[in-house]
Amino acid sequence: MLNKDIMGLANDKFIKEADPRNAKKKKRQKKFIFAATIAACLLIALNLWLFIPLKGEITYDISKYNDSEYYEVISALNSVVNYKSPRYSNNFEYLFNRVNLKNDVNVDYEPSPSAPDENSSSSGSYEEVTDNQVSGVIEEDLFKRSDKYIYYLSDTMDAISLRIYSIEGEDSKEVASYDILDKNINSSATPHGIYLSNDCKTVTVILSSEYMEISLISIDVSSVNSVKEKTDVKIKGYYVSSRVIDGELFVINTFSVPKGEKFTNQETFIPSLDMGDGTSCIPPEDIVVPGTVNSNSYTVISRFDETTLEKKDCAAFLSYSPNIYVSKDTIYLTHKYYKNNTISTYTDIMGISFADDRFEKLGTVTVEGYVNNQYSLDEYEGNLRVATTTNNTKGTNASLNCIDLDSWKIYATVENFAPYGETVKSVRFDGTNAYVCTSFEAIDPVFFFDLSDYGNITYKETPIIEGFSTSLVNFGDGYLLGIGRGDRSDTFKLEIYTEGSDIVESVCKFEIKNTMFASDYKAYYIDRENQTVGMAIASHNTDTSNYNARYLLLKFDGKQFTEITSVDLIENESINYKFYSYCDNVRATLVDDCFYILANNFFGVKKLVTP
Amino acid sequence: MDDKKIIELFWRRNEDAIKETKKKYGNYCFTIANNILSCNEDSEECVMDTYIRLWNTIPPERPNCFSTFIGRITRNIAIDSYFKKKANKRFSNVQMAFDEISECLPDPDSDFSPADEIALKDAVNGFLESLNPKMRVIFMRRYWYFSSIKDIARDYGFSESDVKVSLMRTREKFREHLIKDGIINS
Repeated sequence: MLNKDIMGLANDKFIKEADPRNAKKKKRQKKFIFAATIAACLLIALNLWLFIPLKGEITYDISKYNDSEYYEVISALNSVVNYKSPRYSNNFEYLFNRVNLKNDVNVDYEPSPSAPDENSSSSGSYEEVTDNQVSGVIEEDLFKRSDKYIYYLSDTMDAISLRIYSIEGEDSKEVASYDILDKNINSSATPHGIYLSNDCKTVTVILSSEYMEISLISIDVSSVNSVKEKTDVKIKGYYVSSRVIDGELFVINTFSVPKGEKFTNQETFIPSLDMGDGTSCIPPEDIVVPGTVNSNSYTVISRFDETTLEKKDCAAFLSYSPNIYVSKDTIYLTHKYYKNNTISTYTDIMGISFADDRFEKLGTVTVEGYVNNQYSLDEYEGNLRVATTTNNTKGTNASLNCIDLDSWKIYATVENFAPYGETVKSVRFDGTNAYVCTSFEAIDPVFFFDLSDYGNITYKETPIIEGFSTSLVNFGDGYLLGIGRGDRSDTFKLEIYTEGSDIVESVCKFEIKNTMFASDYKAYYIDRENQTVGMAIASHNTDTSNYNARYLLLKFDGKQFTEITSVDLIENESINYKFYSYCDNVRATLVDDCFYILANNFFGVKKLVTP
Repeated sequence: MDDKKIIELFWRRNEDAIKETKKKYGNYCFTIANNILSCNEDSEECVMDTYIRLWNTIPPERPNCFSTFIGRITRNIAIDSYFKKKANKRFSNVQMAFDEISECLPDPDSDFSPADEIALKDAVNGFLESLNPKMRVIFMRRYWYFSSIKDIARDYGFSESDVKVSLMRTREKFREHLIKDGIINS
């Protein structure tokens, strides 16, 4: 007789399939998926609420300036200077009271070397002593010289002075001194440099005399017995840089408009110059307002006759920041910015031609990253080469861009050629070669680029080297000189590199530990022909708090550096605030077989003995 | 604990086998038993009997699927117990299930040889194989696990009427299948 339980004959697989626990598991899974979906939606909604940028507002009505000739400028500025940003950029910050961190790069201006220019005049011949980046584009320096005199801009605790020395070998002496500014009255004044006119009759001094004011002082030096001031031009703003090209002086400065500006006084929101006959604002037709304004600063370019300081042209660019490069006929302005509240940086580069009598905008291009200084850019045969430090979520790195200056398009890029975490420390372009030093903390590789074929850019690099170079110099015979620091910030280092078959090789190194040294490239004496380099170094006695400084002249003989001479500059002097910048103010030059060294409160001549 | 390890404990005559079985399958066995007996005490007793039966069966048995092996033991014990106490369970869930499936059953008074039982088993599993998974699961839950219509509907998100209709249609197909296979007469 058959058992009623016919379903007891079912196979295991059907029993297992219908296991009630599976249904419960599926129900639990469904509940979990439903809950997870709800949670995900809530999380997305929460994130949107937390991180959607909070909007600010413009707090000032400018409709009353509708008829002003500067209305376009006022409108652009108002969106920046009277924009009240929310206290926190989003609700996340509001809740957790955090501050956005944005790091601005400190830009160090370091001129690059180029072949010295020689000009002759009826009252003496001009001799170039500054290692200018571009041949024919003269940069300001603390000293200049003719064949007869050396002119040095001295900055002591008492005064900013122009000192003139004769060039007579070991019999050289100070022949004139002209006090430009009394530091007891204006202690915050800062000298920037001087220019010597081609005819060697005029020295133009550039200094920041007061808060937001630059002074151009033209001094007649045609007779050392009667040195006198000729002209004084004042420019409102902060000094950036200057150049002399073919007898014309170009001065670049920034001018900032204060927050909360109400536009009632033009002199507070329009850049101006005082040619000696009162302040004159730049006319509106000479102000360039870009489509997107995100800064309350102008970059101002003024053009003067070098000897008379007669103003020839002036232009102001709203929203461009001061990091420039100047070629023989073009000024390149750079503007760094962060994109869309990220850490990624970009740089807009604008070319301004001064080939004609008027400034003319040539074009703009945007590159990823930011430039280090003027040496990060170079114009060569219709191309602009730019080396940048890039910054994104992976970290910092370095890139090299090549831009066609007809189309202003990037047509070749070498991206992220350094190890991540490194930044560009120094760059030098030299024709079809480029040299880049990157570094992470105190370790650097140096890269040699071959730019002879932009379609196939190749490069070699050194192995990891301690320290890094803040300046790279083409030192002749295929050698590259790196000037910088060793593994510690108080270790001065010179290093010679050369290109090997597969890598860049270090030929030799010269180091001095426990020393201060110049950060200004112009403070280094560079002689490529004789492969000689000179610098001031200073060390202090921790027991006495006094310091010593000396000038070293070294020669590279193809294998190593050897000391040619050493000159004591300061012995056992009390450390004051000037100690830390002492080496930056030292200058030196070789005339015939005598080495002339100048510093604040120092002038010396050393006759070099030829080995 | 993995089923293979539990079986290994039975083979080693380690009493932890019962402990692990109870931990993993205790609720499962109780549910099967309670669906049939509808009485906690009887179901607990049934589950205890299951463990004893397992201890006596393994070894020599080494089941491939331990969950269905133990489920079968519990079910059989529970059904036996049910029929012994049937007098008080006339309107129980199990009774209703048996009554529903009775239409498909062969004549209980007929002679059934072992060969016929094998044919019946083949026919039952052949039929179950032919069903779509949804109908098969509902059918098995009702007539093997003796789950109530309500529980089936709740567990799978159906309405109770859907479950009843599905069961009715499946039983009709089952009967036709058994007739076609010559297990029962039309």
